Amino acid sequence: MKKLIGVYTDDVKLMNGIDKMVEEKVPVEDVITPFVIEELFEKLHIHSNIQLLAFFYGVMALIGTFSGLYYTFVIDYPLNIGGKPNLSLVFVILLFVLMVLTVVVLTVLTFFHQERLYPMKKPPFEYPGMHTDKFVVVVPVDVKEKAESIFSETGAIDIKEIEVNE
Amino acid sequence: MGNKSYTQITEDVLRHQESEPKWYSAPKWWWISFIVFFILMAVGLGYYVPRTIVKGIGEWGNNNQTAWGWAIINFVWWIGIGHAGTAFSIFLLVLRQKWRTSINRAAEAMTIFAVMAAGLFPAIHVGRPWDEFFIFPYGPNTRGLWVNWNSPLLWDVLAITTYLTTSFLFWYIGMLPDFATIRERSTGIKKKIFSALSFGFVGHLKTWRRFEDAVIIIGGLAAPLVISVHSIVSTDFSVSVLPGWHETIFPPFFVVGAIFSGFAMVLTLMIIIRKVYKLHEYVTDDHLDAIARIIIFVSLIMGSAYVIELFIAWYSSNTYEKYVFIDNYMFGDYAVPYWLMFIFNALIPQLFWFKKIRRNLVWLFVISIIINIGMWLERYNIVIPPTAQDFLPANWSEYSPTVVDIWIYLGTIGLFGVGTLLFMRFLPIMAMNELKQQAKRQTELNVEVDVYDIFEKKLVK
Repeated sequence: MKKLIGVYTDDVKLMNGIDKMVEEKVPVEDVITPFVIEELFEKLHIHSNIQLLAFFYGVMALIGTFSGLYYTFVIDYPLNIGGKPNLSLVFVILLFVLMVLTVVVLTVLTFFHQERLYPMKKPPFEYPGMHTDKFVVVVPVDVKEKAESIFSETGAIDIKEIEVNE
Repeated sequence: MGNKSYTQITEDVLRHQESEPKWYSAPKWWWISFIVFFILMAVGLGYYVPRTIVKGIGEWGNNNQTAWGWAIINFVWWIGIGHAGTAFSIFLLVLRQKWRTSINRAAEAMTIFAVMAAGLFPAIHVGRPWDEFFIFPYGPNTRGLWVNWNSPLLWDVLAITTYLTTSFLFWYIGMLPDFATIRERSTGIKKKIFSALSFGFVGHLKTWRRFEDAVIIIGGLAAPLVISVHSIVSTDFSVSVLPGWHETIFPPFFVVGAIFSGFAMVLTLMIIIRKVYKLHEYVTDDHLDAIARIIIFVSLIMGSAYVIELFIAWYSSNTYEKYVFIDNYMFGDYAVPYWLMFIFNALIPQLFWFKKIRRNLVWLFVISIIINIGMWLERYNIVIPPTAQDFLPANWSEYSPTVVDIWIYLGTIGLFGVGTLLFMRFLPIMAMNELKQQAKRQTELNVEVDVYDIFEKKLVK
């Protein structure tokens, strides 16, 4: 699929460009940056549901772990150790540790799944320096003229059409 | 970092990799250290561990009294060191401490190798490692039994597995953007390897958003895990009825001790990395100063814990408790390791109150090594004296490690050294993406200060 990109080397110019795009209602499809720029999340309304999912995993892990412990230690094979209760404080430690393990593993898998990341995957496109010092703004080709003028006005060093593998 | 550009940051961090394009070309110091550590690892883990498995733990210095010898001392010591990565990286991440960025990656790598070294000891200490699957709750076993959830040794297995998994995933996810940077800058086989390692990572907006969320969640969960894992390790001891072990102070005491030894090891490692890779603009005097200040604080807690142990032993009026702490530790057969521990951990770090010492690399390095020796002695004092001389003097016996014990310990040092050296040679030793983010913030701050200065000057005029 064809896309138009504008490349910046300065993050201040990038932010000016993005402001201008938002102002002139040019749809910004993506911005590829070598590091996190939190201001962009606010400007372009980028959200993620990972925190919510992690909470859900936590609740499920607690219920699952408690049920497993209760079944193995209270119902199926109660051990009488010095008269200590089977449903004891031990559960708290194990619930916590196993909950952490489950949430961490599932959160990482969710991240990989949502981003379609897997070993040997080829990046959808590569622009030299986009992981070092270049900021690449991606817009659809149907707003080419408007976008090109904003890119050149705000100091993009390169503007061109590229093929992106979806 | 001064006013480094994003390209300069990348080049500085990857300089040692890119200036040595062939995989086997590394500086002389690297090869010498690698060979030394590799020999230790090969002999310790390649020969003495299989020998222990074949012949049994009768090969070790353990006896009827001291059933837990060097293996458990070294296990606790390594686990303590292993806590630094997470403690350093995650506590400071959760507390939004930006100065962590130059150091967190190396500290996390250290965690992985230290926890691997630690995990080896309980694994071989059980005597029949081939039956270890038995400890996992895989289902009722052949005798229809479930595992005993009340056993702290089982908690150990679960805690260490969780800790190793969490630390590894946190470390690996954090490296994805930097792997992508190396992929972009390399060619041939190296590019292929880093393409595989980077999982096709590209810094899309949505990716960064999810990345940030995932990292903060893993970090937020791993921070209390540091506390729970070492508390669990401490309960291995404190649930027993042995004087010297049966103490409620143990969980916080162990957690603080772990952070203490871990920070000391971070200091040792960062001084070496800074020196050999000439990264003094990234690992600055201020960074080392900050670590030294934390060490003073933690050392004071350690000192207080030692004094509280002595006080409680005296105040309890329990004959056995008093014997362990006052007759045995303070003035008895184990006075030398006890007082060395006290001096190394509670007194010598107080030298960091002096700015000149905090700013002197040699002093910092020497004291960090002394703390690590002190922390090993602390574990020695916890494990050996209470078991060697317990309730019945007729049973008392002396403990001394055998060659097998010593070599397995040296083997784990080799494993740690080899792992760290491979990390330093082939992986990004600093989180480039975080350094760049910090450089951006720094530039913004400088701009704000400039604007403020101009504004103020105009007002004055």
